[in-house]
Amino acid sequence: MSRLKKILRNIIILAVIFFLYTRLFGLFLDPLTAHEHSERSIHYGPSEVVHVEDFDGGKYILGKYDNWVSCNTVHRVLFFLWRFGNQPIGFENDTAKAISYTWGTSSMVNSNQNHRVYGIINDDSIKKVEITLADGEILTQTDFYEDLFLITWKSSNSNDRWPIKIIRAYNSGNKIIFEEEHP
Amino acid sequence: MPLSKKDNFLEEVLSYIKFPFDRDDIKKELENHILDKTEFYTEQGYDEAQAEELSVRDMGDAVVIGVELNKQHNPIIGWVWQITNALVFLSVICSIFMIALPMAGTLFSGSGNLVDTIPSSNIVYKMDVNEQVRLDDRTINFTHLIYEKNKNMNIFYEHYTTSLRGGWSFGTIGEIKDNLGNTYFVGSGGSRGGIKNRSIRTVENFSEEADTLIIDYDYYNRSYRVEIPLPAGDKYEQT
Repeated sequence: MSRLKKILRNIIILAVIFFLYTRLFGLFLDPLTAHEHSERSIHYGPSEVVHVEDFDGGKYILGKYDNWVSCNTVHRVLFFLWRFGNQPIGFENDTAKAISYTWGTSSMVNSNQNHRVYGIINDDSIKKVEITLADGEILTQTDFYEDLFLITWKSSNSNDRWPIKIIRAYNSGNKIIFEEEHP
Repeated sequence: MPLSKKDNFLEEVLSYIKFPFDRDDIKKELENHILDKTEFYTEQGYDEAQAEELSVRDMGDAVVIGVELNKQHNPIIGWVWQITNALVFLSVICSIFMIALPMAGTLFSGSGNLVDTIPSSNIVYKMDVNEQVRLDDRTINFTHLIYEKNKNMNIFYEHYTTSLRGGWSFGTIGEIKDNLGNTYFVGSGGSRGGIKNRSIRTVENFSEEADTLIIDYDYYNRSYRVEIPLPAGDKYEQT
């Protein structure tokens, strides 16, 4: 067997092993494929992806599926591969509330935790969503993703069960349409 | 000690070979050629030194041979071959430890039947069930029911996915109900196995009057309903 044929044989073997590894360990070349597989393997979705946002070592994937809203995470591994993170399943939209929301925390990266509050706006008059963190910092969002919002931040304190104290939603006249406090 | 003409010739030829892993083979091949010719000249009546000198002369220009052999033993192809060889070796070793051995482990340790984990002295009745349902690319096969004297109803099932991809483990099999309208809390569970997972879910205080067990899955627009007739009431028969 010529050396070129041996190289070709080796490349085929390596390709098969790589394929096997990606299959068995749930690794993907594309973050959205990882997300889709994450949903399918837990028997949820497929959700409509509304917004994708980067965080340290991964991406948030904000989406809607029927009456549910989700913000799944996918993580980058080995520089170019992706595997799914957590919270692929969404929460059910409570249309009786002006905004329906939840929050999530992804695993520690560089001693920081990545937090997110996300939800759906059920009242069209809402133009701003504002959260007040446990340390008093205020984060707002005015540019929504269709009718979804996603506010993200990092924290080094992993002990906060509810890292937000207050969530408010305002109309264009800055009038509070929705407010909820967390102890 | 000065090098012989043969050694000088070999050294010069090999100095043009850029791929080091081929040098030994080339050296052996050239040496064999020279030895054959030396033998030939010795048989013709030349002494050993003359025979070797003539043999080396017959080989030709060491520079030309060296350049030509280097082209044939392309160093880039040589290195790619060596590197892919090493990668294949490492990958196969890793696969043995990370895939083959764990898989073999699950095949052997996971092959034990969960049904046998319940002592026969506790069993009121045991039923074979063959109800199969699908969720996306997951197939779930309900295989046995065992009702215990303490009113625990044990539901045994196997499941596997055809996607052959790592994914979330299979959570709930659904709500457990009976024909009397009771809905039960699934108290405990367990599973064994790798590709084909064998699992058990135990429902506590299952009514001994019920004559049908219902497994009702309805989550995220996916649903199935399995109704299993039970040997309820006086029909109990220990197996």
